Amino acid sequence: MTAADVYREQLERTWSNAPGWRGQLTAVNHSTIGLRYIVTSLAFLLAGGMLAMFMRLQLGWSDQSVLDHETYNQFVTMHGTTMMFLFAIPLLEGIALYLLPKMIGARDMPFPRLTAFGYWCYLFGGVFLYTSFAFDAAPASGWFMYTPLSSIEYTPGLGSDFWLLGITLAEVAAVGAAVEIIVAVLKNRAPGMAITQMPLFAWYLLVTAFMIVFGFPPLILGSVLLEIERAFGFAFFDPARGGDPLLWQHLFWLFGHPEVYIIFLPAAGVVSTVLPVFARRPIVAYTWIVLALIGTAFLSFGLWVHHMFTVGIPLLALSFFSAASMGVALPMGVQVFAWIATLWTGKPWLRAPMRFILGFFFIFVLGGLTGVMVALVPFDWQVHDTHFIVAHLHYVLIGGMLFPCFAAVYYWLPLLSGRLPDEGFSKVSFWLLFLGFNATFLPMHLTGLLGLPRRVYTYGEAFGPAMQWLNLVSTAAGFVFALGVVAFIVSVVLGWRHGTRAPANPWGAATLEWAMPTPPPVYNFVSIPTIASRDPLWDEPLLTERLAEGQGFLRGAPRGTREMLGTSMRAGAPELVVEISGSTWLPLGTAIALFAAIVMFMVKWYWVSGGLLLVVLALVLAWLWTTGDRLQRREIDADPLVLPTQAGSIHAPGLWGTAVFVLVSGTLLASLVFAYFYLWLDADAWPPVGQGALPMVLGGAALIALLGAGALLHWLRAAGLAAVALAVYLVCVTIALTGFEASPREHAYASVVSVLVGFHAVHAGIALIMCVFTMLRPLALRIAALFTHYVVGAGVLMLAVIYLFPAVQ
Amino acid sequence: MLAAITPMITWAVYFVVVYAVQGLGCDQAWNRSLLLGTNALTLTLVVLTVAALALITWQGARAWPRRSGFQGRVAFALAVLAVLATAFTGIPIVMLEPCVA
Repeated sequence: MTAADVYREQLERTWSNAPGWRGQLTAVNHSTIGLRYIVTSLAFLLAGGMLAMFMRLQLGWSDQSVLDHETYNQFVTMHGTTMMFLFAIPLLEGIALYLLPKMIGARDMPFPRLTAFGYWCYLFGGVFLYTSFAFDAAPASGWFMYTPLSSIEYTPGLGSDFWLLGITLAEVAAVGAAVEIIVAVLKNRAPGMAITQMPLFAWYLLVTAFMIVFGFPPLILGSVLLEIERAFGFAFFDPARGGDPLLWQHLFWLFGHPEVYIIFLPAAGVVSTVLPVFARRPIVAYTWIVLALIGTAFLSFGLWVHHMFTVGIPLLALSFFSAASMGVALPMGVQVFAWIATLWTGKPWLRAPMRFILGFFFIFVLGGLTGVMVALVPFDWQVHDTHFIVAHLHYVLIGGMLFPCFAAVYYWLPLLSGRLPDEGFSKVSFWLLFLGFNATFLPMHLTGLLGLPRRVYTYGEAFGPAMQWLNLVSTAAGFVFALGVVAFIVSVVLGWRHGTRAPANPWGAATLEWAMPTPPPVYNFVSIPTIASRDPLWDEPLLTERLAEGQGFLRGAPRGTREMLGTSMRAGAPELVVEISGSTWLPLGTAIALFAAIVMFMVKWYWVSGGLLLVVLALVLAWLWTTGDRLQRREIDADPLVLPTQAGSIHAPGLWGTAVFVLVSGTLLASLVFAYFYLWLDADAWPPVGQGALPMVLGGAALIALLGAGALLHWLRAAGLAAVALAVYLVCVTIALTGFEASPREHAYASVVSVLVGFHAVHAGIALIMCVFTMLRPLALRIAALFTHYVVGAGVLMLAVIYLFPAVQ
Repeated sequence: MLAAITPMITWAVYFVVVYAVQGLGCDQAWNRSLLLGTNALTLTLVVLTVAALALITWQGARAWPRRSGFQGRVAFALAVLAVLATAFTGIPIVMLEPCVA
């Protein structure tokens, strides 16, 4: 038995999931969960695709009766919702979770329990949404849930509630994954891998994760507000009571447009990873691609109103968004030209993954061009809500996301299974998909220009025979496309089970994941390599052997704990050893409790729901209690360096994770403040006549208590006293709200103020619990202090908005 | 890294501010009060645009000496993009009426 065998045996024992079913339910490691995301999202792809096939049958000729209008509305809503929230994002999360640690030389993601918790939330949210079919209550207001159609008045059943609650639960997964990706990319790269040297895929994921942090909160907030309006009769979107339905559209598209790029960028990351391998040269213009990526991310937040060109906003305001919509083509162009240059100067090699990348180019560029067309306001007015838009968005999403993802599956299949995909079979699936796609969606440009409206279940003969024949072509080709999807899945399964054995690094790639044995072991690397270049496997041919022998950091698992390295943000210098969690029931238990609370909320058993939230809280506390070191700092011999563990370290992943979470929460607060001012702009008087204001004295007391908590923690490090101050603050705002003259059911003013106070009170409550927690676990003080300081800042802003603003306006 | 993306942050802030000021100005009828040969709202928006362009240009100029390094190059190129985006966003201000009425 060599030393390397000993290392492998130790690692195997420490990192493996428990055997059997129990092991499946308690697993937390990124490979298991990542694969699970991928498989689950493909199942949802099939479900969403089936819905589309029924819709195509209905539209194949005028006046068909395959689906009645209500069912058609349900299918169109569920198709869009499934593809966006339950297929596209989770598939990319799965690919990211599975690959990222392997590419940056880490053994796992920094918060494995969060990985598992996110997956369960996604699964429960998705299944919950689909159970609505069983109650004949599937949401039917479109995937964007526009108010007032989705409001209680026009959708009195449970349809909208299924959507709002299920999707919000699934979004928890995306936000959790974003937190993990940011921390992993910035703090868990292999030693020596400077941020300017990391694989481009990591850059794409980093930028995407930041976009999720700023893009998802507006939708989460919108969903929560709409659900509160539906459940408790508050007023946010009802104009009769001072609300505004356009507020929903703003919140939705503030999320909805960045979302398109959140889906597209990781897929573009796949292109930037696969393309150089098949062009057999390093990517051209690494720096320019990073630059284009950051530029795209920013500009994509200035596009949201281009979904609202027809709602009656002044032309000048529309032109800002029109300009940004066209402007985003600049960085995207840089990106595309870098790819073309890579192909041009390389020695291209056509294999299954590359074929799908070429398909991506063709389709995505066409979708991008129609995108620039609809960014022009007058043109958009002509084609808004027609099938032209359906064609455009499918060209962008299927071209920009589905084709690169299928390329990714073929490309990494040898890594996952140790076997090659079958070239002939993959060619069949490619041509079915490519021809089927174009023949389905190209005619829709024409039917749209002829005036065929979207989301309408039928059309009359009056449109003429051209309309009918074009639709018939779309329908027939849609089935060819569906066949292509089936062929793709069959070819992957066959390749996985019966493909030819792949040699090591079969495509000749440069990135680190190919330095592993295939299929990869659960611990990824026997030892953590030191990386000195952007293309480690091309520049260091012996790297694979050196790693297998255990030449590197943290070889084996001599302490029987799951260990990974923490490194510095820019240079990647080793800073600490992160001890992470092994298999546990906590993520599943917490997700079940949260899911049960949501179900109870929907059936209006509010007390039971509240009780279940207490269970969630208890489980979260158990979760936190069982991580990290309790009292003492320790050091670990990572050979050649002795490094501290994460407890109490300024570089602790928990601290960074909390910082990212503060960004998420801050964006939620900003969205809420935006809603406040948006509603103010429409109001005649603020507060409305006869609605009264909050009592000033209590506001002052609340402010003093809040600032006191911050000061006690900052200067005296007195967590106990800070907790008391926070409790005083909570009492003040509770009394203030109960003494509030107006009912939130009467006017949007009282509704939005109550939600602002409630939102902040929840945060103050969490800060209070954290302060108490650190009295027992002093090493967590930094994290509690960071969060409490945020709560103090947010509270000052909140009090200024509700007390100061009405006085000075 | 934050320094490298400052020009784009400036653009984002500019974008939000002009959109908000435009909405606010129309609500408060600033477009009906004349100032320096144009209306007060258009003038405010033009001033904001010029200020943003100046700020981004300054940020870009600071990155110019560091353009041989990764961060300096990203910062400078992002400043160029931000100037283009700001100018492109701002041009319609002088071409269109700011409000519906």
